[in-house]
Amino acid sequence: MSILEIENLTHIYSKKTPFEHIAIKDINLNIDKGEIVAIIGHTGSGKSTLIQHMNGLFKADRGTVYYNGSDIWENKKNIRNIRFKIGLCFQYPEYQLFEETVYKDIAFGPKNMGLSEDEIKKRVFTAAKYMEIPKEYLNMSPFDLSGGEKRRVAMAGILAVDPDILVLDEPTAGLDPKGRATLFSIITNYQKQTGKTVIFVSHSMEDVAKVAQRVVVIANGSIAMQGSVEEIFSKADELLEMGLSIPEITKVFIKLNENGHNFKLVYTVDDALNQLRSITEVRDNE
Amino acid sequence: MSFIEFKNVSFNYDESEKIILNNISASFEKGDFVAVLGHNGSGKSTFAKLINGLLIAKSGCVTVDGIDASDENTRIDLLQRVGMVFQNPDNQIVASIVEEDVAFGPENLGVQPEEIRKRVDKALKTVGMYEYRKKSPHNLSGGQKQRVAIAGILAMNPQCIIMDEATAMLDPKGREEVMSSVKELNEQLGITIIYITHFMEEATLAKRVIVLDDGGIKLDGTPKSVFSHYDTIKEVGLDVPQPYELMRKLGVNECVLNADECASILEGLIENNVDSGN
Amino acid sequence: MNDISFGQYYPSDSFLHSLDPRFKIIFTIALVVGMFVCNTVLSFAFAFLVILVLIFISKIPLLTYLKNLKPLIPIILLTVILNLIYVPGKNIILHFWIINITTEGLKTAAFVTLRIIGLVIITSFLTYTTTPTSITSAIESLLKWLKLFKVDIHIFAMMMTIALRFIPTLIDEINKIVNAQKARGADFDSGNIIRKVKAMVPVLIPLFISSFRRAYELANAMECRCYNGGEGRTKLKTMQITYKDFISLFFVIAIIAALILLNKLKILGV
Repeated sequence: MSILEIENLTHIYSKKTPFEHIAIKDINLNIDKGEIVAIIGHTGSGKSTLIQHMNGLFKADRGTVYYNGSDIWENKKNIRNIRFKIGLCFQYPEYQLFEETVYKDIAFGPKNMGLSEDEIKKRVFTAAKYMEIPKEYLNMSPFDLSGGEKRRVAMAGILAVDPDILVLDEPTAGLDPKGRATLFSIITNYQKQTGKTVIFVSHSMEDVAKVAQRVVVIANGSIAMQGSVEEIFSKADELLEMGLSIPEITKVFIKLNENGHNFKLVYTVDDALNQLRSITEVRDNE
Repeated sequence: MSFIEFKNVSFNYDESEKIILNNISASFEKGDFVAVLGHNGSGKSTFAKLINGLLIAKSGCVTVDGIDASDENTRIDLLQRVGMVFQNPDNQIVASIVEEDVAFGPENLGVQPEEIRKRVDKALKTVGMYEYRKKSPHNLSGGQKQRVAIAGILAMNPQCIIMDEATAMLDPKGREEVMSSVKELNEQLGITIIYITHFMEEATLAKRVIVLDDGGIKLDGTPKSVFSHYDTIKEVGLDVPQPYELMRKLGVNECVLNADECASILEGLIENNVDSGN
Repeated sequence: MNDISFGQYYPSDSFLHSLDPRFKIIFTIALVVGMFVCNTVLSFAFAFLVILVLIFISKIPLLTYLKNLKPLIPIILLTVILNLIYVPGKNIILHFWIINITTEGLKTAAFVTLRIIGLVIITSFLTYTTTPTSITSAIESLLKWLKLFKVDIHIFAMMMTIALRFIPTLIDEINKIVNAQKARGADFDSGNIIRKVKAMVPVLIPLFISSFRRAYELANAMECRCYNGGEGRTKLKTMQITYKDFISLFFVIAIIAALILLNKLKILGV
């Protein structure tokens, strides 16, 4: 069964004013337990609006979000508990840090859950471990850390509520290549160790290709296509039409196919290498 | 003398704190398009801010067009020559209407209204934002906001524009818009561009790339020559463009940065293969 | 998503839109005074006739003006009731318990209501037909003489401009921080006042930090664009006084004079 099910979701901003604007329209989406799903789409496509429906920060004008089979808005008073089950980490989460110490900031979520001090401590330590935050940082002020470290502390604050589903809005925005790689390896390790469901929004197809199992493409407030990484990537031309960028390596193969070859479109260097293996092997033999 | 000159420049914020730039010397010519790379905290932004005097070197000196960047008396002359576009598009737009924001620079310089009007219209047309001149910047996309910011600099008739990670907060489409605007300024108007970024693909489009690390210039040269230092690039926490990564793994010892070139080399390999197969 | 940065500005190409903002501010003040001058049926009738004509000239739908009155309905009702009850008079038309409703009370209540409505619409003429930026520059220009007293009016104008520019940005930012903290289970709705104030801390601290960062970056950006205070600054849009402004000036003087005269004429004793 799907852990998260979105049915006919529609959201309209500034309804009944001249500024009325349909952000998302008739979205249907199923997320299975333990999946890593990437959501792509350019700015203004409605993807941020969509993910804020997943944990009930927005209430849709039409449509329903089901978590484990039940409507998240079934009981209005229960919505806070839903938010602990579906952890949402915003873009640039480091801008939401506010406590005096790293420990206290990570503990904010668990505290709001009303957990005991012991349990809170356990959660903070576990979350810090997943995010590879050194123990000695816990007593430091979060504002003394570097940008990348702040980001990890803020994300630990979400992990500490121990959500079933982790939703990340562009987790690597603004990081340098090394920072991006580190953060994605942290996320995939966390997923492997816990078996939890991870949904992330990204602009970078290279990252999507490396991390995701399934891809959902949003354009103009609707799902333009969804499927396995391979399925989506075979439609590179459609992605380009939607104003999304594709990795350089894919462009190489598009070019080759234009010249009469018949390669599969790939998005990572390793996949490219696999396809070209035959050539290299011959060369090695020589 | 070169257009921009760094002579033995060192910088740190505080005597007690670590040195951010250490004894840097470099020079850039008019019309150059220089990409500055380095991991977060490598001193890229500091490097940029020394050029237009937002920061003043602790030792050594920086000159632009013969003007000493640390000289208070020639401050306006320097700022008029060297414009800067910052990372966060929201924090550099002053007025609530696009054209009024673009006019801000020339207004400060005391340019006559008719001349300001001419410059504003021309600048907005150059970056392709003329139709948006009466709009509120708040409703523009990130890429559009950055183009308005570029127009605001252009209206001051600068000789050089520094892009201080100006594409870091944009989506791929916005990055492309900004990059193509900047390339056009460099090619058509001969404006010198100092382009600070951590997107490798953007750096490959520059004429020259410098890599900062540990307070010094680690690599300096054309994109090809810089990226061919594969191990050094990886060591300083950067990455090489995918086509080159593939070439290396295929055992081709040539620095290939763009997709077309990579495709034609692969083409050759495949033909070769077919030949030897026969 | 409302566009707050434009305030209430309603884009159009009407005669009112094309007037010099400085004149418009002066006209608004004059008409506001005129509204207070009115104290007879005749003068009110004339004032509203003028208002209707202006609404027509402004090319903005009547409904848009009336929208502005909606939030004022409770205040209007309250003043009507208070006036009805408390204004003393000889002519009692209704009497129950200890309350007397008099013709005088009825008249005052009606006049006060009309005055509030008139004032709202008159000020709307200014805000609907002038962008906040123009209003700011007009105020700067009108208060230039304060320089004689060493008051730096340019700084205030610049502050206004920046405030107008950043209000929508900050509103977006507050929404984002509130949602981010809600995602960590922050509760802004329940508990007593003290708890609610405490619950704001996780919003206020990030908001302050980011505002300081924005201020710092904006200051840098302004410096880079050669900002050096108001000295020697020119303007893209110079305010141009045209014949239209003088025609309007003539009409405004005539309207005020007419109102004063009409006040002296009494029909049916009111």
